[in-house]
Amino acid sequence: MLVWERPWALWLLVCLGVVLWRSLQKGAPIGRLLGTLEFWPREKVAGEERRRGIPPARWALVCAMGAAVLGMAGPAWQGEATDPPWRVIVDRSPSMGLASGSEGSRLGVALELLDSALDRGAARIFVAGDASTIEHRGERPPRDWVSSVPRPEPDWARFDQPRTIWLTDRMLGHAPVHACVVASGGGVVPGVVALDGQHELFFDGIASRLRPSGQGPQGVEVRGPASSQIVALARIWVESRGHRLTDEQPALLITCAMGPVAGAPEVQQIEQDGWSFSGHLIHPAEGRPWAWAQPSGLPAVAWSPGFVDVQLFELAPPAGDLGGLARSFGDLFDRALVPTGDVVALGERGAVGAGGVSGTFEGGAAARLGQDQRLPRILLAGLATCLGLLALILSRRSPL
Amino acid sequence: MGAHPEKPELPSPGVDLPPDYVRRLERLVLQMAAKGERREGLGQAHLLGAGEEFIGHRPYREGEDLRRLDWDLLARSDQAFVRRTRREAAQVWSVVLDTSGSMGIGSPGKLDAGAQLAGAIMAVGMRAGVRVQLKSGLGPALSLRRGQPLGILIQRLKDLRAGGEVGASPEAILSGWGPPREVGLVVIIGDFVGLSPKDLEPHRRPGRRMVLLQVLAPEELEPANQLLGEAVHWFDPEGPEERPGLAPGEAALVYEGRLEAWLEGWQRSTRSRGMGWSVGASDVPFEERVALALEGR
Repeated sequence: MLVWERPWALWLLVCLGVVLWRSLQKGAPIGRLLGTLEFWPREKVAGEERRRGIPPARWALVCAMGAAVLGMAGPAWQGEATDPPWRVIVDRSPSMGLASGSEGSRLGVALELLDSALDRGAARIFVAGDASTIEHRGERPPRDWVSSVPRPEPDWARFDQPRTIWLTDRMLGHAPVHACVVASGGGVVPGVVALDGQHELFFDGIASRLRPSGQGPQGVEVRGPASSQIVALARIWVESRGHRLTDEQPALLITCAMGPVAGAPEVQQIEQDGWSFSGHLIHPAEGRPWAWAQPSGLPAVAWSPGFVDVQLFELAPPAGDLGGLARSFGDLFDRALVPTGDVVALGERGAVGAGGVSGTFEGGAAARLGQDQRLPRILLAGLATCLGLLALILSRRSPL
Repeated sequence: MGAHPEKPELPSPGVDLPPDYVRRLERLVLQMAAKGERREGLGQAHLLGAGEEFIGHRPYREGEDLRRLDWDLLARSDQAFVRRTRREAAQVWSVVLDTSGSMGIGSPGKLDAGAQLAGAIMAVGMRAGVRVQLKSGLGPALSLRRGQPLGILIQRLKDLRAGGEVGASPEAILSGWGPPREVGLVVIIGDFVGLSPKDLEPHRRPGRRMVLLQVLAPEELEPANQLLGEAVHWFDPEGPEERPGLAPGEAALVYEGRLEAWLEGWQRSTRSRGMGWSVGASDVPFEERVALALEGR
């Protein structure tokens, strides 16, 4: 079935019809002199009325314009015109949820820009930039995709592909080769950048200052053998941050390997920042890897917002810089703790410029269409050209 | 129907000679002279070297060469006559140019084309030693001889204007003026609308050749081709007549049929009277038509 990529263009045919109709309506003859007028018949000649009207040059011109309009409307056989969906890679870092003027969040602004850049009805698949296995097909991504949950910015280079759009808040320094970019832009957004049980760190747009927190302590659950040094470290961190230990809807769940595996597995070791642990790796840790076991190379410690998974069953106390050990795990827990309210890290609250749109958003179907599939448009363009030339030639013999 | 259009002004009322007209004239004159000499060498009669073909008598004038006196006729009639030859009769040419209103139409204009024709014939005549005269409108004829500057002729042609005066048509001119008796060649140039072959009868003479060069505008010859699909309201350039404005479809075919019959009538009438005649559009170069007219074909 013949379909049109830009059916609105067909309305221009109505304009051409009006031109023709007006030509027939008016038909005002022009006055000319004829020295041999006596031979011109006085009486009305049969068929004459039928012949009067639109000069051939105008017919040719109108037909040329008609062909051009049809070509502009983009005829295609159904099936040819169904483009593959656009993959929209969504930056889910907390900055996308920051307010952007009166138009909602930066994500909302970016989505508005996306709507104006893409053809109406173009299929979209939203892909979480920080976890490419999470996809959503529709006009808008799920609401909970953007929150104050700390999520890293996507690894954009992985997504530099055709028919792919990077949806973010800043124009990146390195422009993609194939992908398009839609960036919301945005200014500095003041707000809380960190808090604990008693205080919050507030960024006023210029500097940060400490002030009493209006919120109570956050709940943290720690699971693991009592002998684990990491469990002990976690409890100390909860106490020092003013949080409370709980097993009911904790803002952070820290799990440590509960026991040794059967048999005699190889001893693994994790080593960072001058400290090290050795033990048995029970399972590969789930989440975003934070520390790898050697020599297996598997993640021994991983995290995700609200969750820290430690799969190394400790065989001995930690070695090396114990202060560095405490600082490393403290940073990990701070990062994994799901913040409450509008706590967004200072780095996310900075200005990101004017934003904008870059890349070519059209031609997806055209690029895929083969020579045969472009034939209707090529034929119409050729026909319009020929008719235009014919009109030009005819206009020399009769008025346009 | 749309509004009734107004009668337009004459589109080409004047004479706009091409910039190279004089140069083309000179080239044509040389070509015609060369042809005349070749024909004389072959013993063929020709306006530009007519030989001694006897065409009649005229009274003897005092001082004339007695060798031309017809002694036999003198003996029989006791009156002195001299033998007239074609060469002698052709010593004066008259060119009558139509400057009526209908000559001001066409592109190029019919008057423009007619003036170029008239100028060419006169230039050829002057080169051949003939006294040539141009008669247009009611004013006196312009008379020129060999050796006089062509500029006089060119200026006269440029001053011509179609529809400028009453009585500018050939029939009006010929009814009131008439070429002098000694004129051996009368060339009438115009569209001949309103002219009848009978109007020419009084001006026929033994030894006088009459050539009619009819000039029509391209849209008069082939309106269907020139005005394809155009709705036209026709006006008579010289009168109140008009025809309703419809596209020239079937009506144009009727017109062309009538026009063809009219032209065929001219051809028959002139041939039966021994006159030369040709018709051409105003965009035909004058060289083509002058050669045919003066070579008597």
